[in-house]
Formats: sequence, structure tokens, C-alpha cells
Amino acid sequence: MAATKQAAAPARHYAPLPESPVRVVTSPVPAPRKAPSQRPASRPAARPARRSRVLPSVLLAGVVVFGLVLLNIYLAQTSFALSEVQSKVAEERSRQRQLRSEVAQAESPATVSQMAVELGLVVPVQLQQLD
Amino acid sequence: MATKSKSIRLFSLLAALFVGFGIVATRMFWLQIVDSSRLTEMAAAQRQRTLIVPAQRGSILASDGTELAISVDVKTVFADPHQVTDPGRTAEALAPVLDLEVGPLLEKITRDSGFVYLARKVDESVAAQVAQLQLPGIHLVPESKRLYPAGSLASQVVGFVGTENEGLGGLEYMYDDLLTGRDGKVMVERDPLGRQIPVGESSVKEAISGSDIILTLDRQIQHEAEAALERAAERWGAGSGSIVVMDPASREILAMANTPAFDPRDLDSSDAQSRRNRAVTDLYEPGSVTKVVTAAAGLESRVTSPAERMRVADRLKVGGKVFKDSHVHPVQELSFAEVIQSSSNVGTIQVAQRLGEERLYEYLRRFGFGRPTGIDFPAEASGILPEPSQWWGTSLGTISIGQSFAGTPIQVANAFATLAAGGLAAEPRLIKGTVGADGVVEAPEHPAPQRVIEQATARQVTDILVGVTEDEIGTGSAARVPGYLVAGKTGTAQKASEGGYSGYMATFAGFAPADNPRLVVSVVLDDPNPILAGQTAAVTFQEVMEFALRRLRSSDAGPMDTDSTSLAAATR
Repeated sequence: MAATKQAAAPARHYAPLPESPVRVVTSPVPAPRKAPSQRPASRPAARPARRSRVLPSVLLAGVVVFGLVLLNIYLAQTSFALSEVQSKVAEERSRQRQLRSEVAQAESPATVSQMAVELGLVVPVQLQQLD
Repeated sequence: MATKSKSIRLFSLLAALFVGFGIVATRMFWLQIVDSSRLTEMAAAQRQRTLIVPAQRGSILASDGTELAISVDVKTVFADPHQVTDPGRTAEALAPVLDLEVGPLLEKITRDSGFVYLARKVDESVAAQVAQLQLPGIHLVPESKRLYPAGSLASQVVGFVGTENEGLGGLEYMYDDLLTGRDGKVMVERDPLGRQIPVGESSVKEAISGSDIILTLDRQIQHEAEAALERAAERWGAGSGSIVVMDPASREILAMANTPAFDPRDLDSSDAQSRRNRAVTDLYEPGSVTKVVTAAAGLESRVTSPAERMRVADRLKVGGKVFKDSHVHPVQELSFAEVIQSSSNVGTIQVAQRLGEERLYEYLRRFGFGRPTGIDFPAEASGILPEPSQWWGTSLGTISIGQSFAGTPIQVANAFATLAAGGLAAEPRLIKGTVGADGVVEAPEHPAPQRVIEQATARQVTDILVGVTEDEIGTGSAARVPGYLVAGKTGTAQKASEGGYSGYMATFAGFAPADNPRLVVSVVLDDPNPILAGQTAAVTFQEVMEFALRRLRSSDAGPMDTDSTSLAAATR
């Protein structure tokens, strides 16, 4: 009964795997014990197809992640550069106002008249109208 | 038995898992729904920073666009005492840089506080030195500082600001809101090191800079007026004084000078007296310059004419009081023009008696006495001119010759401008325009000029006033300007003080060229020696008028004032 079961089992379960003739022919003990060792035998046929899908996906994901990292770095760099430029603009504006103040001070009548006196210029005693 | 035990274990595991998930779900519900807003705020507060961007205070510019007041960025030094690791060494290192004593500095940086000012608004070089020291707990923060590049030039007009840049005097005070602008806000997300997160949330509300104010003041004429006042104070010992130079057609004030002056760059060493714009705020009895209004009223009312011959004694009794001329003389026969030119009190009062109180009061009001001129300057005094119902018996006599009522130097200048403009009264103006953040220049609006006397009357009075400077009988020959006809009037009035009169106020006001007035100049000197305006104020008038006319001629030859567009460009 047990032998019948053992004999019937391979016929029922493993009949679709004739492509493993070596194991079917040489195995003294058929059926369940061999079944586990027969499963891997069917895998080599499936492997090429899965590898061909996984590898590009992994590569694509890697490229996407790498791209995102690059984009983030670029954004960060741009942001810092923008911040630096804005700071520089503010500094230059401030400097411009400072310079305008200095120009106004140098141009003020009090400064000019003092410099004129130091240079020996004098106010004319008598003025003559030409027309 | 084994199956039952297995079932119990499974059930227990399931129950434990259910309870566990239940706790997690409940907590999630609590965090996500019930306490969501509070936690969101907490999270935002941890990473978001809102910075106030202070608005730049607007500049105050002379008529040519040159800065009289401008704000620049400077640094303030502050300490966080909690971060100061070695107070003694820090104080010793900072003291010479900040020009402070070590003791007070040490006291500040050892306070139990997180923020202490050490020195506000320091120079760029000082800030650089502090930064170079790299002292723990010592920091620099940017602030805005008000600078006055022209120093004391027009300082009482421009005014000054306090430590927080709030206007405290002059136009800085009057136009504080306009100059201040509106602060902006920047919200950014920062990482734990304080760096901005590039793709984080951010929002910017731009600061709106304050408007620039363009004055009507001409820097050259202003400087000359101030220099002339200083010379007057030195020559004749005048305690104080004011000069107003005005374009009678536009009523633009080209100069408004006061002595004593102050330097807004060194506010601490000035006193309140020197910060006052006396030309607008100070009252005095103008004296004989008021006779110009009496003359205009008499001529306009046809109670006299320039050529009318009048018998004038050297004294006259009015309301129980004897009014005298400035010198003793026998009864003279003078024309009304000569009465004004020689500044006869008696002759003027005789005409005033024909006018009557009501009419004299009415014309004084028309010429702007007893009420503010409307000049765009704070704290303008309105003057004191009582209504006729409040006049005493002597009031007609005193008021007609410029005593017993009070006016301001700007009122006197504006009254002469009314005459120079052919009888058109208008508001004097100090503001040429404002330049907003958009760069557009806006001119302030003023009421239309009002005719107060006929042009012919103004012409008659002008001719009389030319005689003041040109004719031998006139009291203002010192005001002559070679090459020009000057119309003007002297005024030497007693100075009111507590309980009576003490000292004199000397005034000379006039305009030139008399046939086509371009400039009005009014000079007021407080208690000069000699006291007579013809020997003091008239001299100062001549100096200022001559300079201003020369300046006007040179500006006529080329563009003095830039147009609105270039002004706006220059200020931005």
C-alpha cells in the first residue's frame, strides 16, 4: 500500500517534469524525498527572465535616487549661492549709501568753502555786473 | 487539550495585537486629529524662523538732490553674558576697541541676562576689530544709523532722530511716518545648524522703504544765510537771529537759517534753544516792517496816496499815550511815501487813524498775521493778533507800527512775498516733493493763491519801498545791491520781556529785483548793537540778497534743479 502510494505519487506530482531524466531513472527511491531536490531543477529555466527584469529596475532606481541626490545638492548649492548673492547685494547697497553720504559730506558748502580758504581763495571785495 | 491551549494562545496573541494596535491607533488619532494644530505649531516653531526686515528710512534731500539726511547700515555690539567664558579677559580686550572703561564693561557682560548692549551703531572699523577678536558671547547685529552729511546745514529745518531712528525734531519729526516706511518679514525653514533648508517653506513680505523728501532749500544760499547770521552775531553781538530766503512766485523757501545752530551729528552737546527753528516757532513784535501792511491798507482803501502831502510832527497822542518818531524833529511836510521811507511812526499812525481798527486788523490778517502761514513744518506759531474788540485805546497806534502784536519771521517774509507777488497771498513751502518706493515724485498740494490787494496797490507800495533803500530819506540804504533795485523796509522794535520791554529786535525784509521780484529775504536779529536795523539787519540782508541773486543768475545760465525724473533716479 505504501509502495503503491510511493509509486503513484511521482506519477501524479512529477509527471510534468520529464526534463530531469537522470533523476527519474537513477533514483531508487521515488517520490516525496526526491521532490524537494527536484524543485531547484526547474529554476534555471526561470532565472534568466527574472534577472532581466530586476537588474534594469535596480539600475533605474539607483539612477533616480542618484539623480534626486544630485538635484538636492544642486538646489542646496543654488540656494546658498543665492543667499550669498543677496547678502552681497545688501552689502553693496549699504556701501553705496555710505559712499553717497561721504560724497554729500565732501560736497557740502561748509567743506567746499573751508577747502577754498585753505587753498587761498578769497571772496571778491567788489563785484561788477557785466550786463 | 493541546488544541485548546493553542487556541487560547492564539486568542491571547490576537488580543494583545488588537490592544497594541488600538493603543497605536488611539495615539495616532490623538496626535493627528486632536492635538494636531498644537504639534504642528511646535514643529514649525522649531524649524521656522521669522526675521523682521527693517525698512530703510527715507532720505531728506536738498533741492538739487544732495543728501541732507541719509540712513546707512552700521553694526551694534552686544553680549550674551551666558556665553561669555572669560569675562575679565573679554572686558580687557573689548574696552580699548569700544573706547569704554573695563569696569562698566565687565559689569555688563557678567549680568544675569541673555542680551546686553555694549556699544550701539559703531563705526565700520570698530565693528571689524570686534569681529576679529572672536570673543565668545560677543556678537554684532546690523542696525540703521542716521547720518547728516552736511553737518549743521539747515539742521533746525531737517531736524534729528533718536536712537531708534524715530523723528524727534524738524521735518524728521513731522514726516516720520512717511520717512519710516514699513518693515518686511521673511519666514524661512532652517536646519539645526541654522542653515536655510533649500527646499523648505519660505515666505517673504518685502520691506517698503520710506519715501525720500526733496526740500526746496538751495544748499548754497542756505550756507550763505547761515554764514551771514554767524557774522552778524559776531559783529553786533546778536544773541540769536533768523533769515528766510523765498521765491515769491512759487513761495518755495530757498533758505531758512537760524542762529545759534547745532550739529545733528553731535546732538548730545547741543541744547534745546539751538535746535529750534526760530523762523517758524518764535514770536516777536516785528516793528516798522508792519508799516508796509498799514501802507498797503491805506492805499488800497484810498485813504491816502503815495504823493499825498502830510504834516508830520515828531510826536502824537493816541489813547492817552504819546507816540514819538525815532528822532526829534520839527513839524515836517512829507509825502506819504516819505512817511514810510523815513519810517515815521507819527505819519503812519495818522493814516491808521483814517483806516480804523477793523480795516487795519483785516489787512493784517490778509497779509498773514495772527494765523499760521501753513508752512509744512511742525509747531508753527500762529502769532498774536487780538481782534479789534479786544484792542485798547492805544492799540491802533501801536499795532499800526508793529508793536503790541506778535508775528514770526516766516510771517514777515511771507507778507513781503505777498507784496512781491503783486498782492497774491499763498502758503510758503519747504517740501518740493516726495519720492516713494516706486520712484515716482509727488508734489504736495497747496491751496491756490488768494488776491489780498490789487496789483496796482502792490506796485505803489513797492515803489515806496524802493525809496527806502535808494532815496536819501530812506532808512535802508545799507541794503542796496549793486545792479539791482531793492524794495525793503527796516524795523527796529522793542523786545517784549517779562513785565515790559527789554532790548530791541532788528528786522529788514525786502525783495529784488523790485521790478520783477525773484527773491524775498527777511533778516531778524535779536538785540544787536547798534540797535538800528538799518545798520545791522539791512547789512546782513544785503550780503544774503547779493549772494542769492548771483546764485540765481548762475543757475539761470545752467540747470540748477534737476527735473523730477532725474531727481527720482538720483535718489534711488
